[in-house]
Formats: sequence, C-alpha cells, structure tokens
Amino acid sequence: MESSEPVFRLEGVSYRYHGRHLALDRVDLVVEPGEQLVVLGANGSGKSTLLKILDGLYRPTSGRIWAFGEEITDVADDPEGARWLHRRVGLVFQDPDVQLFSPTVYDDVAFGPLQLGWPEEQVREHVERALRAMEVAHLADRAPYELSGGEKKRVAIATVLAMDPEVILLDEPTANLDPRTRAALVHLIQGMRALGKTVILTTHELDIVPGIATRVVVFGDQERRPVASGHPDEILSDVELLVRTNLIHEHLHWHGELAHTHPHGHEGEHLHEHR
Amino acid sequence: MADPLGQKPDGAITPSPWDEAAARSLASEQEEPAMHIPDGYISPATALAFYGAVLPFWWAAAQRLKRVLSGQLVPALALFSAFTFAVMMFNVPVPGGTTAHAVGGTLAAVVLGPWAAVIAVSVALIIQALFFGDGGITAIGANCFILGVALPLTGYGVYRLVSGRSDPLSRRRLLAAGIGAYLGINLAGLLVGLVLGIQPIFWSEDGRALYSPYGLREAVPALLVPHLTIAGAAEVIATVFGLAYVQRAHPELLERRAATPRAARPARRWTAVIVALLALLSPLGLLASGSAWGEWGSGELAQRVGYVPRGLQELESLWNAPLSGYTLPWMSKSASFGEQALAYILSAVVGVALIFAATFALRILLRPHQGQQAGAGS
Amino acid sequence: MTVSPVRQRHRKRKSFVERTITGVSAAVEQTVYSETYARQDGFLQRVDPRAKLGLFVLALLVVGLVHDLALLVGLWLALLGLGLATRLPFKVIALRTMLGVPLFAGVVALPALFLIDGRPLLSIGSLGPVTLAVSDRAILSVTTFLCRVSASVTLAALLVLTTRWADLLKALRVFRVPDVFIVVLGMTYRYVFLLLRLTENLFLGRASRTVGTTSAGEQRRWVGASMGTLVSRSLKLSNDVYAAMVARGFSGEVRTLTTFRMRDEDWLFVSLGVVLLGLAWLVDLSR
Repeated sequence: MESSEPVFRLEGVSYRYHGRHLALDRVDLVVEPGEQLVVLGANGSGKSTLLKILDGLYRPTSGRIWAFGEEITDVADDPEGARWLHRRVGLVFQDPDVQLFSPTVYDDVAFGPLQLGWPEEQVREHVERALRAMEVAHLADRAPYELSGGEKKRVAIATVLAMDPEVILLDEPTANLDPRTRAALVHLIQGMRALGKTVILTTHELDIVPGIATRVVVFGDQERRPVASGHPDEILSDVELLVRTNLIHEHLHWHGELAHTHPHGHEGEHLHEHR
Repeated sequence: MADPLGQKPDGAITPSPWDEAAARSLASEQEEPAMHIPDGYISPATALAFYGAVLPFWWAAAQRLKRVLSGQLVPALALFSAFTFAVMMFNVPVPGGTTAHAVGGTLAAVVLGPWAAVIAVSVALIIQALFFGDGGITAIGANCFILGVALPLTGYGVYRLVSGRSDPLSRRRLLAAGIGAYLGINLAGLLVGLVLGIQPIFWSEDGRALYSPYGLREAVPALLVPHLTIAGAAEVIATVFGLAYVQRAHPELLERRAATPRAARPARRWTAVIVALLALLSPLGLLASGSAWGEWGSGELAQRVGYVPRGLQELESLWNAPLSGYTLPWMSKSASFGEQALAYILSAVVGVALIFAATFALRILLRPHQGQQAGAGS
Repeated sequence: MTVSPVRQRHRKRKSFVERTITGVSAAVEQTVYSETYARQDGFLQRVDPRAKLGLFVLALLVVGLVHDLALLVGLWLALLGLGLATRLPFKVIALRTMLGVPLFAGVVALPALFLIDGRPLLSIGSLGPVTLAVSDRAILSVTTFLCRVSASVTLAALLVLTTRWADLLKALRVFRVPDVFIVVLGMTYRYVFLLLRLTENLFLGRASRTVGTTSAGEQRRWVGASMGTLVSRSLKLSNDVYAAMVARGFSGEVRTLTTFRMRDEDWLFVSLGVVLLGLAWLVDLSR
C-alpha cells in the first residue's frame, strides 16, 4: 500500500437504518493522506453514520468503499479485515460513556492495544504514552463514573491514541465541552497534523473550523450527501450555503435604534460589526 | 442533596458525608432491596448446595446466550444486568399507600428472554453482594438460585403457558406476565422461607439454633404473607406496567422475540417448558410435604387431628427401618421421624448438588487455557 | 423481608419517588466513599487483593461453621480490631457492621426469644393461654445468630472498604472465575452507575413537576414507563458499546492485563491467616 493511495474512497454509498430511514444518500468522497478534513453538517445530516461506515462498523446499504486501496465494503462481516482496519483507523465516539466501558481508565486505554495482541511491555508503553499525551495520567486508576465530562473526552481520545492509528475519526469532539478543554482539543488536533496523521472530524460548530481544517466538506441535511467541498475560508464565507444547509440562521437583532438581520452561527461567541 | 455522580471527586472528599449517607439510609429504615439472604442466616452446607444448584443453570444460560448473541454477548449481558440492578432500586407504589421494591425478573425474562434474565438477575445480585455490600457473599448461590433462576424461569414459564399463541402486543400477554410475575415472586418467597425454616431443624446443638432461629412454622408464613400481598403487588405492577410501556413504545422488541426460534419444534419446546417447571416445583413439593412431617411427628399429628392415617403409620415403619441404621451425625437424637426423612431428602439434594459443583469445578480447573487470556501473563 | 406495621405506617410519609431518590443516591454515595477508604494507606489496603479475597472467603466459611459461641464472639472482636488496625474510622466500622444488617437481624430475631422452647429464665407475662417466657435456649440461639451475622457482615465490610472494586474484580480469578464473566461483571458495575443516574434524573424530573397528589393508576403507569425507558436505553447502549468495542479491535475474545504480583508479605499474610483460621476451627471441633 503506497502512501499515494487515498485513505478513503467512497462511491455512491447509501445507508438506511432498519432498512427504512435514509441516513446517507449516494455519497462520493475521497480523503487523501495527511488531510485534516472537517465534515460540517446540521444535526441529522448523516455525519455520524458516515464515520461509522468509514470505520467499518456499518455496512453500506448500497455503494462501495475502499480504505488504503483495499475494498472494505463488507468488512463488518469479516473479523480479520475488521482488525486490520481498526489497527489503522481509530474512531472517537461522540458519547464518551459508550466508549469508556472498562473498570478503570488504565484498563480502558489498554483495551485496544490488548485486542491487537501486542506483548504486555508494548501495551503498557503505549497506554502510558497516550495517557501522558492527553494529560490524564493522574486519572489512570479512576473509574469512568468518577470523571468529569472534559476528562471523559480526553480519556476517550487516549483510548484511540494508544492504538497509534494512521487515521483518527472524531465524532462531534467539541460537543458539551468546557471552553478550556475545547481549546486544548483544538490544539491537540493541530498537533496531529505535525505527526502526519489523517484526521476526519464532524461538527456543526463553525468557530473551530479555521484552526484545524485543511479542507471542509458540507453535508446537506436534506440531501444527506456532500453539497460543497473546499478550503475553510472559501466555505465559511459562503453565507448562502451555510444558511441553506442549516448551519447558521437568519437572526433578528436590535442594536439601539437599528434593527437588522444577519446570519448567525449556533455556537460560539457573537461577534460582528455594524457600519 | 448533592449529586455524587456529577461531582468530580479528586481525592478532596472528606469521608464524613459517607457516614451521613449511611445514617440517613438507616434513619429512613434500612431498606432491603427484595429479600436477600444475608451472610450468617444459613449454614455453609446449605450455601454450598445452592452454589451447586445454580451452576448448571448459569452454564446452560451461558451456552445458549453465546449462540444467540455471539460477539455481542459481553456488552449485552452487562447492560441487561445493569438494567436489572437499576430496576431493583425502584420503589413501586402498591395499593394501600405503601411502597415496595420489585425484582423485575419476570419483566426481564419476557422482554430480554428467560436465559438472559437468569444471567442478568444473577450478575446484579453478585454486584450487590460483592461491591455494594448488600446481601451475603456466601449466600450468593442461594440468592441467585432463588431470585435469578427460580423466579424468572417460573415467571416466564407461566407467562408462556397463559399467553399461548396470542399476539405479542395483546392484553392477554399483560395478564400472562402479571400472573407469571406473581407466581414467580411468591415461589421465591416460599423458597426463602423454606431455606431459613429448615436451618434450626438440621443445624441445632442441644436445642440451640446455630443459624436462622425460626422453624418452618414461623419462617414460611413470615416470608410468604408479605410476598402474597405487598411484594407480590409490587412485582405485578412493575411487570404489567413495564411490559405495557414496551408494547406501546418499543413493539419491535417483543415482535422480534416472538418471531425468532421455536417455530421449528413447538411441541418439544412446550414439553421442555413444562418439564423445567416440574423440575423446579418437585423439590418444593417434597419440601412442602416434608415440612408437614417435620413439624408434626405422627404422635403430634394424633393429638392434633385425633387420629393417625393408617397409611402414614405404615409409611413411618417403612421409613424407620433404614433410617435407624444410619443416623446423621449432626442431627439431634430426639429428631422426629419426619425430620429425619426430610434430612435424608435434603442430603440427597445436597449430594446431587455437590456432584454438580465438583464436576463444574473440575471442568473449569482442567480446561486448557486456549487463548482466553492475552499474552500478558496467565 | 417482613414488613412490620410500624414500618408500614412510616412508609406512608414518604412517596415512592422520594424513597427511590434517597435509595439511589445513598447507594451511590456509599460506594464512592468506600472507594476513598480503599485508596487510603493501611494494613489491609496494602495486601494483594487475591490473597485478601481468598482468605476472607475462607474466614467467612469458618465463621459460618463455628459452633462455639465464645469462639464466635472472639472472631468477631478480632475482626473489629483488624478494622481499627487498618485505620478505618471507628464510626464507619460501627455504622457498617453493627447498625445495618445486624440491627435488621436483631429485629428479625427478637420474636424468636419467645418462640424457642427450653428452660424458662424470664417470664414476661401471659397472653391468654400462652405464657410469654424467654428460655435459655432462646437466648443462646438468638445470640449465636446475631454474632454470626455480625461477624460475617464485618468480614464483608472490611473486604469492601479496603479493596478498590476494580482490584476485587480482578481478584476473582483466584476462584477460576472465567475472564468473560469478570469482564461482564466489570462492565455491569460501570453501567449500573450510568443507569442509576438516569433513574435518579427520571425521578427528580417527576418530583419537580408533580404538585399535590396523583392518582394511583397514573403512578403505576409512570413507574412502568420509567422501567420501559430503562430497558430501551440499556438495549441501545449495549449496541453502541459493542460498536465501540469492535472499533478498537474486539472480535468476541476477551483479553485482559494481569496487574498483581504477590509479595512475600502477602504470602505471609495468607499463611498466617490460614493457620489462625484452621486453629479456630480445630478448637471449635474439640469442644
């Protein structure tokens, strides 16, 4: 597998939950190595489903998908292939309560490396490195229920870092986080680029995009597939696109005597100027 | 009151609030979730016999669930057990203005399946005993057998018998689950009463009871009456209204269960259900009839009833012969014929249970460790 | 167990909602604070959890087998001493080992004083044809019962209060408990907290919305719906957790780290404990 192969290639991938509710509709997408791709989309636009399909957890209802040049369309039914994929691709779930299922933080971070069949020495080395990287080494012997929301998120990312994957998928990583943890997380994702990792993350929070994205893909909540792709500056300045995909909304403001409407993001600070 | 789950305990907690929590729960009178047997209430022999009795059920349940759930076994069982644990914490309002805890074994059996319920209730009880300090550690086998095996399997068996081939979303299913839950919880109450009641009969020294001091005459009604009324009502309410909600909000769960296996050999499965029920009930029958003897030797019976049935007299002479030669060392010399008969039945049960236990222990000990553990040591 | 009329009257004061909330938060608090004691430095806390669990189960057996009352009392006092020696606050030991289950057992055992026949020592009076008298055997029976229950509860409490639960879990391997089962237990414990929190929120939400009294039928429907909510949440969680496990390479086979190493002190502790317990048992047999 050459590094020139795209990390992921999707052709006409659709997914229906319980064979009924349509979550993804004929998605075409190519992700190159080293990219930091932000998938922007309103709630219900199929972003989470996309990440689970990329990680081989869901099998597409139709369409085909390749990872590192190998077809992984049916990998959900192939334990060997699944292990190969999960060695190279790590997924941080949106809900850390789902991801942290072990008695202690240490056990949880060790879970992935143990499944890979590494020797004990190597497992411990990777676990400790991941704990330090996420600044949670002091929590190693805590139980998940003793952690705060921000700590849980850090540990959840550590469980994936410990497996040292080439590609890291993050599902809404900044949701429900305090500002400090949020800033630390953005910093960490920037650091991953330096390590040559490919990062794909989903969000609907526009303010974190400029700091981390090398490319942005916008999912339409009606179309359930990408409706735009490009450089962050280009996408973020396309107000009409952002309104149409439900990422910002027309908001009525009164500033003294002056009433006006302007596009307004859902999250983050409210900063704008009047002329 | 502060939410202890929401806070962030980074070693800064002072221990004192624990005392308050303990004192508060004591002040609001120590609540026993359902009827666990604590440590010290039953003799080690009884406790061991129940471990032997429960192991085959655990093994059978694990085998079956492994087939059905395959890779998903671990998380599914863990979440089912956690659910059962949470349900045991519910206070259910019962008629008459009181409240009581439900076990939820029949509800779990109806929604998740009987074998999943066996494991789920057992795991919940083990967690309570080992990590929360509720219920006995030595009595885990007894509690798991009574609440985790007898209760859900009886409840489920009755549920299936009463519901027949009715639509899984019909009202008849609610009725069936209610009857099953009521019988299940009462069987459990009766079993606890019997287990406690036989303690002073078998384990006394010069008239001094070594364990739970009540005989069958006191223990059985003391446990059965609340179960026939309050605890029974709580269980029925939890089961019927819980199932009604699942019928309404998540019908797919019940339809999926109804659609899966069984269709292939309905007759054989029915036989299996009935045989299982009988197997569960037969030792009970023995014990129940034994209890009558245990309390009244024929002499006492004569006083009470005025005459001794001839059959019983003959039976007594028949029994006395083999029994006289083999007196059990731990039985008091003055034990009546009935008590001795009961003792023999129980020793037979204990014996069979011990053989089961030994077999399973050997199985576990001798099984080669084929990659069960990681390279990280054994 | 039995519901006495006194308790029934008491129950009417608090609604099922308050009772559940109190019960859930007390259980959670107790566990959280148990963990803080297990983290403290102390003699029993330092012992290898496998050694401790093995020895404590043996001790439970011996406490269960002993016939001699004096020996039973001696064992109980020794255990209380052990609790103090391992720097558990006396208040905590007392609350946990004398007021909880033993108090309950005392209430349970009280009527037995009048029910067991023997040489009457104390006559209270007569109720119609029945004379209420306490016999020698009755006192001995009840004392034996209470001492045995107290000693057992003390043992269990010492184990829970001095062992972090994750260590206790791994120590179960001593009894050849299969790894799969240990992992299920661990995961159950972890999600019990999640579901208890959900339960607490459901009940708190109801408490904050309810004004005045509600009909019995409505209460039952609500309890049923809450249980149903828990079922569906558990099923959804079990699917999601499975996905999260698969995403990290899980293929149905359980792999775990072993983290304990028995030190010389641990062997010494086990040997000494076994000898003392054996001795106690022999003494009991010879009496």
